[in-house]
Formats: sequence, structure tokens, C-alpha cells
Amino acid sequence: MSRRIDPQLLDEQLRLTLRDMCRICGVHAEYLMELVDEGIIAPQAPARRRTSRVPRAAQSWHFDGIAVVRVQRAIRLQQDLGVNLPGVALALDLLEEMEALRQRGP
Amino acid sequence: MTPGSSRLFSSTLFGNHDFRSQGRRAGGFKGADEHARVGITLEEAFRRDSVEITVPQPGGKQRRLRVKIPPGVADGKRVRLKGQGGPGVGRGEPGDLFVEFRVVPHPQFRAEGRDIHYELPVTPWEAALGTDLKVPTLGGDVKLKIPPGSQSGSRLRLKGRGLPGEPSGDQIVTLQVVLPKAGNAEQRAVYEKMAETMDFDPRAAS
Repeated sequence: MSRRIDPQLLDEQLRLTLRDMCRICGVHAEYLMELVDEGIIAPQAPARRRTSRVPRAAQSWHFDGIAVVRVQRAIRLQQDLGVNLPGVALALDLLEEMEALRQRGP
Repeated sequence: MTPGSSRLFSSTLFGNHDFRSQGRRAGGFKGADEHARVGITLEEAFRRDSVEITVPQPGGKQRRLRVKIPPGVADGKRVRLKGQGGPGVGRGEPGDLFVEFRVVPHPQFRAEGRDIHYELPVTPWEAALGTDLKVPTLGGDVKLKIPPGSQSGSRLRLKGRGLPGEPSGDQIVTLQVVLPKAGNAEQRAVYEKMAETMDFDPRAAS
């Protein structure tokens, strides 16, 4: 059984709305906004200081494909390892730095 | 969640945490997202081949599917295959499948993102005088102009000869000057002649 499917590349060029992000990552908008506040993911449109639960500015946010990967990793770190959000931010930065170094090779 | 349905979520990565939306829609739950990793060669990434992906299933089973490598794939890049994850519960839609591509090490080339690095050994006279040399790339051999006065470690860029994407990567050729041995008297004489002729001290302050 072998079907062929065309995939969606999760790269810097992908543009996802807040709603897309919620759907793809399976999380509430409030959780994504916490990650934005913590600097774990960064929306492309400038975010104003948030006042309501889902501010109007957040509706115009866009994220790239890298953000999906970061959110998924953040969930895993919180869920599996019980890391708090500042810890998640640090762990993600270190993980990505390690990957960049690994790619650069010896 | 009823006890009976918890089993269906046991294979998910995240379980039913409070920040997870449950994807509840019209009497059902969205299926679990699944994750897989696949090793590809640089040639496969360059040709954008279809590769077979094995997704482990609960109960030790496996599911296989073919995925065409999209342009822009480099080591560590991920793709999302909508609806290819676990089946939905009730009228819920299926989950997604996320695949991470890992580029396996290549004997000649080293990839850095979409750029391909290649070390080209050259003779001292090729570097000093300049020449045209044949250089392998993922797309086949190309001719590279070595400018006169090149040094060991000089980098030459073959624009667009790296991995495909928007924009495509380049191939970066690093010259490595290799010195021939002064094996016999005649060869030693050449080096001695150079020592006399060349007014050159690489340690002199520039």
C-alpha cells in the first residue's frame, strides 16, 4: 500500500494565520499568545500590547512554518518534561543552535 | 473523555492537556498527529525524488506512504501532510502527518542549508596562473574558472548549483592547494629555483 501525496513545506516562506496555527498545532489561540509573549514564536505583523483575550491585532498576525515546529516542540517540552515557558524558550534556542552547528559540520 | 476513548489518544504526542484544543467538531475528535523522520541523500533532494516513509503505528504495525520531496528541502526541514495522521473519532477529521527530512552524509559534498560545499584540490601552478577545471555538482560536471592568483582556501561560488528552492542554493567550491613532493633532484631543483626567484615571505607583516 503506497500512495503519493504532495506535502506542505514548513519553511520561512510559508504564511499562516493565527487560525491556521491553532488548527495545525491543535492548540487554543491563548496558548499561542503566551508563546508570543514569551518570545518563543514571533508573528510577522507588529503586535500591540494585548488587552483582551484575543486582541484585534492578533487577527492580522502571520507566522511562518518554522513557528509550527517551535510550537510542537514547546508542547512536547512542557508536556513530557514539565519545563516552564521561560525554560522552553531557552531549550528551543539551544536546540536550534545545536542543529545549526551540526549542519555546519566539522 | 470516556475511558474507552482514552486508548485512542494514548499514541498521541501530547495527550489531553488543558492548552490543547481538542479539535472537537460536529460530534467527533480530530485524529492524532503523527511524526516520522526520513533519511534522504543529497541526490534525492536535488532530483526531488519520491521517497518511502514508514510511520510507526500503535501496536507495532507500520504504515508506508510515498512522499515527493518538495523544492527547498534541506537537512532538518519538515513538511506537513494534511489528513495523513491518525483517523478521526466519530465524524472528526483525521490528524496530520509531520515528516522531518534528514540529509545523510555525502562522500564528496557537504550541505549547509541549500548551499553545497565542495573542496577542490588544485596544484600550485593552477592556483597561481589560473585555469579552467571540471568540477562535480549535484546536477553533473561544470567548468569552473580558477582566477590567477588564487590561494588555498579561496572560495568560488557556482550560483544556483545547490539544492533547489526559492531561491536555489549555490555550490561553494573551496580551493585546496596541494604541494607536489620534491621527490628527485630535478623536482627539488624546481623548489630551490622558486626559493631564489620568489621574493616571498608568508609570515611577513602585511
